Amino acid sequence: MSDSPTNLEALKQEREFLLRSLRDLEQEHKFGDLDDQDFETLRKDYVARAAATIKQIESSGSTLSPEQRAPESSTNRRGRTVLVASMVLVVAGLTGWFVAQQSGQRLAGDSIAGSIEDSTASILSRARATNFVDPQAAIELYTQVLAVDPDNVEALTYRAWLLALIARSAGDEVKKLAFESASRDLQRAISIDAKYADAHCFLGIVRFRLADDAQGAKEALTVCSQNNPPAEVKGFVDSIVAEVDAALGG
Amino acid sequence: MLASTGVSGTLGRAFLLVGFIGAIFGAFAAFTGARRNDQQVIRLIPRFAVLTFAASMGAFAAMEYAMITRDFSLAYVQKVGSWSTPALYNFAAVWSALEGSILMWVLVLAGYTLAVAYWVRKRMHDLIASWAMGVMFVVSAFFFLVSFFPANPFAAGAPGVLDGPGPNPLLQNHILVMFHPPILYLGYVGVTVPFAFAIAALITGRVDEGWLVATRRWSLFSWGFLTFGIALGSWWSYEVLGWSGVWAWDPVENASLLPWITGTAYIHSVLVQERRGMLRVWNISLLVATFSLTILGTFLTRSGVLNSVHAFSESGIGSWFLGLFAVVLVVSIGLIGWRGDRLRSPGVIDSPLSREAAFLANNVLFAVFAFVVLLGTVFPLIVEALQNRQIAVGAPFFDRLSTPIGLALLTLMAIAPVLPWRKATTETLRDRLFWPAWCGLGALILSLALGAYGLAPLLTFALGGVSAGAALRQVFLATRRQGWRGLVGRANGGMIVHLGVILIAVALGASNSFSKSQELSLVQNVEAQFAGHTFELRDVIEVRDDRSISVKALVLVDGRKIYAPAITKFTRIGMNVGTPSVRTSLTTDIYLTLEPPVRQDANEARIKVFIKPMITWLWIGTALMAVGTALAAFPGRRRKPTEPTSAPVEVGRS
Repeated sequence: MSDSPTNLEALKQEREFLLRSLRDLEQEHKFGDLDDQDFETLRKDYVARAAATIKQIESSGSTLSPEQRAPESSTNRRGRTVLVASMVLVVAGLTGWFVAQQSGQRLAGDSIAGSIEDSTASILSRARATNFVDPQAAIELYTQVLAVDPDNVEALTYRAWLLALIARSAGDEVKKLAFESASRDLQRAISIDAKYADAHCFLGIVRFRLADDAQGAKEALTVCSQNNPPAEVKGFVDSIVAEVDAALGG
Repeated sequence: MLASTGVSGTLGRAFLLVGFIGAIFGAFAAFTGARRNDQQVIRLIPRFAVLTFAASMGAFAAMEYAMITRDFSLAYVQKVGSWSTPALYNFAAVWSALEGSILMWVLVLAGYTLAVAYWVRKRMHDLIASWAMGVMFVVSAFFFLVSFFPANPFAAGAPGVLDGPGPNPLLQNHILVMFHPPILYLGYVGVTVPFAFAIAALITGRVDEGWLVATRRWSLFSWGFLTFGIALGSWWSYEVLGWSGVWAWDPVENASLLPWITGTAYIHSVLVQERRGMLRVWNISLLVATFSLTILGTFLTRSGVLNSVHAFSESGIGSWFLGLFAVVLVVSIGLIGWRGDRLRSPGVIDSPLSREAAFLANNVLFAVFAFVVLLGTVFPLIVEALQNRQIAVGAPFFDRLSTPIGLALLTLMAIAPVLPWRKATTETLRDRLFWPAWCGLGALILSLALGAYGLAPLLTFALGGVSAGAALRQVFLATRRQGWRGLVGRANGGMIVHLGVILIAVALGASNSFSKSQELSLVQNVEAQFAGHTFELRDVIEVRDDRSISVKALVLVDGRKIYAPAITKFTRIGMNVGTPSVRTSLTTDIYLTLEPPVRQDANEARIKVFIKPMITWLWIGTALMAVGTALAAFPGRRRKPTEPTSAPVEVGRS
């Protein structure tokens, strides 16, 4: 292998590179890219390396043996390898421990890494997308919004609505508590923005479904219709109006 | 299936097929020619490069034509095309989703392959050039194949579709969508060139410094494009996403940062190999890591694995990229192991107080940084795969670890430029650090006088001062000797890049530590105050066009100019997008967002105000980095690699 033309070619390439680098070094020094001290140091280094390479070419074209290239002992090399490997393991272990400490539950819509310090707008947007996929996660997001902005009408309204939805299948006691909480939040949303149709619509539905209050539901649903609710909310309302009317008629 | 697409679909597929065949033949010619040293076969290589580039151009043009003519026979146009999308964003819609972005990758890669073929045209007989071209063709063939099968942008769509939703609203909200992805791709894909030469060097056994010097500019350019692309992404995030930040450690951001980190380590450590012949294995490993990380990043961001590891199996493209990643690693590690003997460095580091020792320390820090970012990004995926638990690693993990690493890197930036090669005496250090130290002290006093506080920001400003002093010292000495020519060259250009990095570090330190924010409930014509500024709601207006309804709050800031943060509903997609409005100055940005719910007929609006110091300096720092990279890439005095060694160097040749 040592006498192969490829090896000789490689040595010649190295010689060319070193000689070219010597000339380039002078240019770099001339143009101020290298100061005097660096120029001298590097020039000596290049000259020594070029001389060694030329010697190799002239002798047999063999590569420098590992011993010639790296005069340090194998014991030193092994010791250094063990030291570096130990340091890598320590850094990896510590970082692994820290990442485990810093990780937390991922909610629907969360990124696996990093986080934008969300504006209430973007949290609301994520909550909206999660509403019927994962109501618990959506409630948490609306609660986050309310922690920053307690008067946020959309968060008050939809958190109340999702709470009522979850409570529908629960026992009477839970239903009662959920109704009180939802009703309170919806009334508060209405007091902040009386024209926000969604709050009126959901209040009507909650009154009817959780408290059997057909009269109160009818009043809220009427205001809801007057304020032109969005299509998806109107769908819920349309499905209940007939039932409310029937209950009042009975 | 083809029969149901229009002419663009049929042509596009044909071009992709031709490109794939051209790349396969190109690889075959390169490898066969190199193995047999057959010059006749080797001479065919540039022709195949022209063929693959022409095919990629044809495929890309076919896709653009389909998008411009709204050819809804194609599924991709149905997904991201719309009659209501403005021409500019419609043009950019081609790369707004997976299939089109892979097509752009194909185009850029074929462009690089052709450029390299042109660059080595006079020394194609050199085995290293032939093998490198072969590697470029193999990677090109892979991407043509991905674009032909799992990420086919020319697949037929459902019949009868006459309009589509258009691109994601976030991608039709700012002009930067035209520039950020293409520039980032120039960076990502450009890494293939030095990687191909590294593999060629390993195959031929010519692992000396020659190939590395020859590809220096390619490495610098791809690094420069990656830097600029990442910065444009940050700018886009700031201008579009409405959270007032520039970096969120999002997996997509991290995927671009990882190759940048290893690439930065490489362009430093490569100097040690060039000057001292050391760190050969390390440099080749860094190149392999940088290329592998671009593939891994593409896998992470394109396979659906980020939503859930279970979504990975639903995506056709994920397994392709994971396969390529594995092949690249196995082949590269195998080659490095095979050439281990020749890669052993002839020199050793003489002193810890030397330029090469500083570069080594710099590389250790960058390696740790890359590990931190990679682990934080993939840890949730590993946990989900092993335990079926969905977890997230938040920004605090990245912030807490990147802050000390960043400060340590700033310290090295202060010291390394004044360290001589081989060994420094205390006298030399004292002499060379004198003015930089004063700069650091001055920066510290100035920041304290301006009211800065906190250990991390103060350290950032002080170390920034020392680093800037060290960089300016080098530039000053060079320009004193050579005039404006002193700004050119790898060391001097590098110092300009350092100055840009320092500006960015200081700006990030200031904006992360001293920003203020508050939500204000503004009532029309009633002034509110926050952080020494006044805000007055003048009106709330509604603007409608074919694709959206936008509600804008007109806010008078400091009684001088009206700003208009908005919420835009893209009616076809039903998605609300907030658009911030920013008052920019050299010292402070005032960043306004409109918070829902908002009605056009209301006489009030909820506005979130962010006061962000020094943001403009992030963009100035980026520009300085771009200029510095260009200055470092064009020293203008190295002879061409094709010239014989004996050719004289013309003094003053540029």
